[in-house]
Amino acid sequence: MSSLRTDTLVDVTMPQMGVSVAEGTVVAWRAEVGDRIEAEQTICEISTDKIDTEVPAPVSGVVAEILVGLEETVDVGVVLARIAVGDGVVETAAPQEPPAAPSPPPAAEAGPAPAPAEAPRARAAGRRYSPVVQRIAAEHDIDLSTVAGTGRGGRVRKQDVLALVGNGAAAVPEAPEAPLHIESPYRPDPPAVSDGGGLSRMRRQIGAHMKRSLDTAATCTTWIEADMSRVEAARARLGVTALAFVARATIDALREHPQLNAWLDGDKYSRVDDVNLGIAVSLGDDGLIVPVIHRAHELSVEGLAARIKDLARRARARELSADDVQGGTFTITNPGQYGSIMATPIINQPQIGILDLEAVVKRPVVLTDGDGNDSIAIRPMTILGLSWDHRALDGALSAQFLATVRRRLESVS
Amino acid sequence: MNSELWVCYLGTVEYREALALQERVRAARQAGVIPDTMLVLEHWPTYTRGRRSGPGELPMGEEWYRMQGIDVVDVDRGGKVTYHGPGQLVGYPIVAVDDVVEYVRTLERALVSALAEEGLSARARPEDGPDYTGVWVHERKIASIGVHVARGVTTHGFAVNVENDLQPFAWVVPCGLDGVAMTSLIKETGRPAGQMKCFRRRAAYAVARALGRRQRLVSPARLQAAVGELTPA
Repeated sequence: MSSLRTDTLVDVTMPQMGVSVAEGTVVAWRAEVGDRIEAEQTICEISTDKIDTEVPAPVSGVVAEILVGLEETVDVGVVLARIAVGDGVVETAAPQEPPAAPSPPPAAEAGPAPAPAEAPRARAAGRRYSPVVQRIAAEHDIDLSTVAGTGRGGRVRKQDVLALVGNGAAAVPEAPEAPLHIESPYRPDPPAVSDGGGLSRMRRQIGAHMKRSLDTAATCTTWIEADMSRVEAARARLGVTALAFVARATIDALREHPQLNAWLDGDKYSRVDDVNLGIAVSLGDDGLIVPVIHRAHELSVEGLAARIKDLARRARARELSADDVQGGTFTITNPGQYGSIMATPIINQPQIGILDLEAVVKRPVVLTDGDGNDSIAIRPMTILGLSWDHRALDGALSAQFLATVRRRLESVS
Repeated sequence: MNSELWVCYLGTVEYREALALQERVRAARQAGVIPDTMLVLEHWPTYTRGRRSGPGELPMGEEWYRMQGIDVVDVDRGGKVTYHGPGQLVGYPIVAVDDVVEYVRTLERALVSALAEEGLSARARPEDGPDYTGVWVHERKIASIGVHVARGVTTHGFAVNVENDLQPFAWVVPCGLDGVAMTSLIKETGRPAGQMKCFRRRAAYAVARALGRRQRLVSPARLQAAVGELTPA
């Protein structure tokens, strides 16, 4: 048997930072694989709930493995890294043990003080042997490198060695197995497998914001159908999007029904004089952001179109300033380019209304002429949805508001 | 000794200087040379930027902020950009804790009770998740909390907007989506400036009480001497 490295690996696990905390995020590694580290020296920092915590190395040794990357979130008890205790040299290219490999029962006593010399383990040519296998092999002078393993991944199990010894079962005393890993003191629970990847920061922000809105507002959605014939004709002429016309019609409706251009914060309702119109801009997989056109009531359809285009470009280039995303009094969302026709948008708190513009679709509609004669015509129609906060207003006002938006859209010249 | 919380009023201090002092006090606390200690102070105008702050969080560029008289300091902590300035009460409790989350909740409760004594109805909102750590008046944030733990001892702590200028908060992108509205004690109560002296006493007392400690005021000189014994020049 060749004499090779004899390392004991000690786990560094995600500590329990509080009884109510189930997970933490690694925010900094203070050591790299191969670095020498002293007991109590900080090996990494983790974060949860606005709290950063330094994780001390449980023992002195060499960092053998780092198992959790920066910004990864894992459950309490999950192994973050392993420290090799021993003569301090680790084969850098050692193949990583598959997580499902059979391992001896957990340590009976979790103690921070390792006893590296008690159960030396050989680790040669990518094979690892459990202490009991090594002990049996040593007692019977068996070269383990010649033993064919029947365990997972060809691992040599106790039975494999015992089979070579013959009826060696009697010859080998049933001693308790030494621990493969000495556990760090920070392990309240057995490690759980974390799911694949957490949500991005922006996603979590959006999620919290949306959930908070639903928990706060008495959200109700009202729809109206509008004939977009005139808008379609005008937009072809001006070379702008339907959204710009809907924005202008919405601003006009907000001027007619200023009760909707307001904030509701707790019990505090405040009407705002300026129309600061938020436009939801998708950032693809990253999420969305709502830049605000301040004093939008001063702008024409063309002006609005230019501002929307500029804000969308800057949003996607991540060039928005703080002022660009603050102070909105009402929001328009426009996911209609994919053909969807109705939605129930969530109010952008502390605003009290959000208008949803979906696809413009040609439909057969009944028209009535001045003499009361009905006929069927093909018209580009859209369904406008208004989500509104029933705490601040009632259904009649929301319907009046939508009727105003429709009237404005249908009278575009 | 364990039942005491040393409280030390430091006046207005440069952020970096206070950080260095915190580290020395922490070393002394870890070594058991001093009891739990809280530094109470104000900072000169400063944005502190965490390790995970992106460049977009100071959208105007560092130079612009410096021209407004606001220093920008990179701090070895998580989280995003935040602002400190005169009129904001900063407390750095350097205490030994077991359950750090419970500790943060304790700080929140202490600040809520200190604000209640000022006649202000504030609340913590742990049910809304980690992003809402701090103390709020309705949906407006009045106090921020951020804690660092090393070898069981905390640094950093809380910042309560008492009578500071809130404008600098609006000059940074909070984190993309919606700007959290910041508020202050005088904005909420309509009282004139000049509340700091009274409020900082209330806050220190409330924190000591919430931690189950007896407050003991120590002078900066006394603290320096106690800490200095440990740190060789």
